[in-house]
Amino acid sequence: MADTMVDTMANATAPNADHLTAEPATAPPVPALEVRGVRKAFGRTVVLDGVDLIVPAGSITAVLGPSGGGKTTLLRIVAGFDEPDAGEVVLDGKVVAGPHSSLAAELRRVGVVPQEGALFPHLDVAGNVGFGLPKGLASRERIEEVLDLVGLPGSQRSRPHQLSGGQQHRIALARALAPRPTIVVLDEPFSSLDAGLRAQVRDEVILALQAARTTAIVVTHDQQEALSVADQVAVLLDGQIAQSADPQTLYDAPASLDVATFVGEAVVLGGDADGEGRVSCALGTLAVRQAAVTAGVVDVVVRPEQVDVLAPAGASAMLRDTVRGTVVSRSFFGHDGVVRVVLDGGLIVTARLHASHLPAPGDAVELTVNSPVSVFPRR
Amino acid sequence: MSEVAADVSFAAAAAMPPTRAARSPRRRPPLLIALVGLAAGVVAIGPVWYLVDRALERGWSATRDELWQRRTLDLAVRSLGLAAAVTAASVVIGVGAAWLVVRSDLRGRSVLRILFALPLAIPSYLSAFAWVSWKRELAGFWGAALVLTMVSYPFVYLPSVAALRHLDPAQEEVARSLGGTRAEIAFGLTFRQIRTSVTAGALLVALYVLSDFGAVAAMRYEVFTWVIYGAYRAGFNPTRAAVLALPLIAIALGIVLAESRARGRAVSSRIGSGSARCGAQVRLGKAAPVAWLLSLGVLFAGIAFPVARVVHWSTSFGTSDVDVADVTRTLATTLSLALFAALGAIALALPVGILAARYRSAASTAIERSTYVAHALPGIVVAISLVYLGVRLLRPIYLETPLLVLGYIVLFLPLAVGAVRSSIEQSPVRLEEVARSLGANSRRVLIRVTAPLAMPGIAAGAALVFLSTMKELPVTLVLHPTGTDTLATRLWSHTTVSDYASAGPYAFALIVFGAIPTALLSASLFARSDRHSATRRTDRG
Repeated sequence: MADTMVDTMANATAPNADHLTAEPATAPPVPALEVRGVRKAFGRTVVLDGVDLIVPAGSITAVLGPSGGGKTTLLRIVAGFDEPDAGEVVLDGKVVAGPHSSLAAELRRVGVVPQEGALFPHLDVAGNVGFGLPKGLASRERIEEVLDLVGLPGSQRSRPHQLSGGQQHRIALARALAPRPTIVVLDEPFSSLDAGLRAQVRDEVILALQAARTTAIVVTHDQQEALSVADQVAVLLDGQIAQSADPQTLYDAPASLDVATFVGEAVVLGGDADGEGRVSCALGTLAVRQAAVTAGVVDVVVRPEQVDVLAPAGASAMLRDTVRGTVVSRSFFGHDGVVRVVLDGGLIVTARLHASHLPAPGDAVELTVNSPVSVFPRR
Repeated sequence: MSEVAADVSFAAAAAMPPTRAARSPRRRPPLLIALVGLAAGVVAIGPVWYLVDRALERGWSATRDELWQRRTLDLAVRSLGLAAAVTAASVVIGVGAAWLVVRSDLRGRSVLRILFALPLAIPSYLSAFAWVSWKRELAGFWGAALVLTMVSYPFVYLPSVAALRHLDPAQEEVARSLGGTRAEIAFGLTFRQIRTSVTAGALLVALYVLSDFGAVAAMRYEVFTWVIYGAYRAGFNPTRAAVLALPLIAIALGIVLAESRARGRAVSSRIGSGSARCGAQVRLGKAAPVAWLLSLGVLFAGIAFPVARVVHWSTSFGTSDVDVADVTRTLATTLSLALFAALGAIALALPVGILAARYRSAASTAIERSTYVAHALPGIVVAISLVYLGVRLLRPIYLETPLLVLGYIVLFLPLAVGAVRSSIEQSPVRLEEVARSLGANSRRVLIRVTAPLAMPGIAAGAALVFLSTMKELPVTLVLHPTGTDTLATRLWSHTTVSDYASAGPYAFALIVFGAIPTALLSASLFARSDRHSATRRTDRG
């Protein structure tokens, strides 16, 4: 144990020391969590295949991926419940899991909020929240403090089974926050709640996390959730982080076709890039978002809200290219709606527009794209 | 540092390379757990070593000559036949009774569910003497099978009740929505899911029958245990007794291995709120009177008849000169011995159960299995082996109370291990992980999370050991200190000379004081699962 500790310390401090001597003024802050090249396989199934992730201190990062895509495994590796087959986990500048060493879960200071809350059924709320604290007056104050934080003051004496699902979640969060962990990880925290409760509990939990100024990772398969709660969203696809960025960037400037289609709705069309910032496809000749795209065959990604739907007469006044089509179906969502339009060439394009202007199926319309699109060279 | 040391010593002791176990913090048992677990294994397996040593004392060929006889085969066939018949009957009665009280709408099931467990309180020899003192012709296979079934079906009944109450009713509902008939669902889905629990119970029954001495002796049915006892009594020939015990151990080992295969790799712990409600009660309709008749029949044969006989003994022969002081003194001795045995067995079973449930490895499995093997040793063989150990190595406690308690612990460790293990497996692993993420090391997790959650099950295990010790006969007969008598030995010495009147008060005390822990046991089982499902129900809210 002593040997491995020394090892760990050396690994962790060496690069930082170099950094400090080289350029002391601009040394970037140490991220709360850094995952480097983590691999994990169960039998022959490779779940994580070289995951790299940096979580800045104080941020809320969402790990978004399809169900069964290894999100929970990544979380368990960070928490110390599982060990990576390869790669490193660095918490607060200290290597806690690596090829030669592994710090026990109880020494990592990673707060865990499991999917179902998992409150200790034999302890009351104070017993649950105070579990990670030493006995004493200070701890009683801390319990009070975090219960205030999650919006459940005075609930110390309640038993877990007397609480609603949402309250159990918030107590589970309070329990994780109480010992002031380096980072809190939440595993699909809201998936067991029904839709109405979900948004409310989500807001409460995020507010509490922000109020506590805690670094947090929220694992989810729900993209709305990821985009709405996180400062940074890391998309986990095929065992790797396909892109890690703030929600706006992720949505507007996806790094790959996979990310573009996984996050948000997208119409994917074949097209020809001219190498000078334009691409021609079934929706006409469009401006390309990316600066440097070489000429060639590409996939064009168009978001439904980038498509404007116009009555045939109105199209003549437009400067942009328009294409003609016929509405085949429409879905009404209250604040907005979606229409599916079959182009004269036979392609089907989805457009999102204001609910008051929804054309009916069978209507002839003209489509135009209102902003630059993302393109990705065909592999 | 200490954790690494624990890991190394555990692995080294088990002669295993510290490969994966050393790297994963989850797989590293605390030092104390590993050591006590190992000690439990040694205590459990010790008699076997002695036995083999004794059996081979005069060389292989002498042993072979003694065993290689027609008589041995007859003994094996009779022992196995009895075990098979009793196990089959116990599974039918145990599972049937469990299903009736948990899943049917039988009236009075809340009373029945406690009554069904009560035969645990009746010692096999008492029940046997009750029947043969009524009709001598009952002696033999059928009498032994009847008596042993009636005393051992609760070993299947209790785990079946627990498992049935743990099932997720949604699965049955889905099966019904897919067009499954009730019978198909019961046999294809429900019984398959409780199979692990039933198998474990059936294993206990089979081992109980193979090692039972009192009932077969009272029923004069020649199986291994009775013959071994005879060999021991006939001039203290421990070698012959030991040799005869070898095939018995082989059979028991076979059963234990078969059980481990049947159990498969399924781990029964479930995470999250999988089981939310109790299933709907199945309406018995016209079958209700039949169910009632069958239930009453079982309760009559298991409890009412033996109790009535004991009352009959105590009253019909005239009991003016009952020695109340002696009964009281004997009762106190019995209770305190049982208490020591229960505490000792739980202290040793805790680490074994924890290792088996949470630190699965070749070593922990071997330790757990060794405690089961020890249970297959007939009490009389354990007793003789302890006599030998006492004379040779433990001279200071030979024919003293500690050696007797040690004998009880060896015998009943598997009851405690089973209870501890299953209750730990049922507490979600996720809670322990959360505790660790909050900074609790393995020892603290154990004390503050695992143990409290498993406590009802552990208490049930202790009650089971307590009860079994009160009833125990052969070890007590051989090892009890001079002048120290238990209810069982007093009962035995009176009934073997057909002095049923004098045996009456001791039998009565044995039944009454056995019924109390049994009732507590089954009541706690139901209270626990009631609370469990209540908690889960609100989880959903």
